[in-house]
Amino acid sequence: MASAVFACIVLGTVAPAQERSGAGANLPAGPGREVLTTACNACHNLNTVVEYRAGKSGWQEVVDNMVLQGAEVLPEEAPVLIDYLAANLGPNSGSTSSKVTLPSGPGKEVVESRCSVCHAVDQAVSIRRTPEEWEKVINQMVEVGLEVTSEERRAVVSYLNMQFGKAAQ
Amino acid sequence: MKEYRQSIAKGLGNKSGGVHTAYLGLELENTLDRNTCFVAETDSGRVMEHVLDFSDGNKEFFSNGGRALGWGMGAAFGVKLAHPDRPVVAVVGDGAFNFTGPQPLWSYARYKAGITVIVLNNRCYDNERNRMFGRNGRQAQTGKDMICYNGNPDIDYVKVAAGYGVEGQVVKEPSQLRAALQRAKSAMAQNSPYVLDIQSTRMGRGAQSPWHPEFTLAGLRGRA
Repeated sequence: MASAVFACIVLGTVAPAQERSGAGANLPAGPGREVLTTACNACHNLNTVVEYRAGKSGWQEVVDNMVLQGAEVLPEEAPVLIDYLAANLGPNSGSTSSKVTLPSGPGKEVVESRCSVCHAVDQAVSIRRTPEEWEKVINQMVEVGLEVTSEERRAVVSYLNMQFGKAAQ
Repeated sequence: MKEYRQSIAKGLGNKSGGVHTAYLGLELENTLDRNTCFVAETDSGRVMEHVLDFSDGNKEFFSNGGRALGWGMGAAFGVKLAHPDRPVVAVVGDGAFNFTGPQPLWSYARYKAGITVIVLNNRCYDNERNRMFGRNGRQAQTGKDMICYNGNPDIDYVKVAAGYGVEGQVVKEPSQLRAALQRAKSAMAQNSPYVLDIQSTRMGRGAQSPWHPEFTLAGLRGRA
């Protein structure tokens, strides 16, 4: 614990107490909330946490990486914390307003509905990608918790390639 | 907690697509001599020390917390001067390596310093990107990392090392790691420096994207 806090001080990432408390105050009650507001708050404020969305597998990866970097989350606390994060900061749990208006085309509605469950579509469509890169992106999204049917996946990939495609170099 | 962290690290050895720094820490623990001195200059790579075991008092760990970039490889030479009979391993991020420049390798070769340099080659300033994306500004909203991706071209640190008289090898997958560390251990025992270009994973928001701005000076030319 001491080494983790020291590391954060040296790296200049320890947030003032009042800033740390801000984002945590609005989190819903439930098992795992206390772990989040103590163990996670020890090194950084919770603003970064509450801005992120992922399914259970995505939050598992985040918690594992934080434990590896020094977070004092006990083995028995980790599953409780991950369940809490997935339930309260998972897909569809918050607004994802976008500054981007998607072009019309087959699959647009599926992209708007599936890609916006965790983040604004800006993040999905700001970069042109090759077909292989779009497949990789969708695979990564599924890995962190996107739930999509085979038909929806085909529609999303087709739309993204049609509207935001890039020839392979 | 150490056992818990080590169990997480062990699981990361089964994932392909690069070496996780925590798994590297585990393999260092399991492969190198107990009295190895580690000189670490990493930022996002600072998971390694949490899986190393310092309980027997033989291992030493030197780090400056990332506050003086370019410090690590020169510092490793100093540690070797102080402990000529002990293996010395410098673990540096690729960003840190480029802040140092490669010239300490010449000193290692000239003065037969048995030092291994591990370059955590994830082709980016990983934690800088995380810090910027953590502010949730336009870069994070669009997924466009404007400055932190360092690939294209991808630097080959083994080729760089060869130019300074130091041998080495590239490690792309966790399964290759132990054999590579054994070679490094053997080189150090023979008073030879060695470089491991370990292609490590990026973490956090935006980790998967190699996008970078397409600006080129060639694109500014008005005439052939």
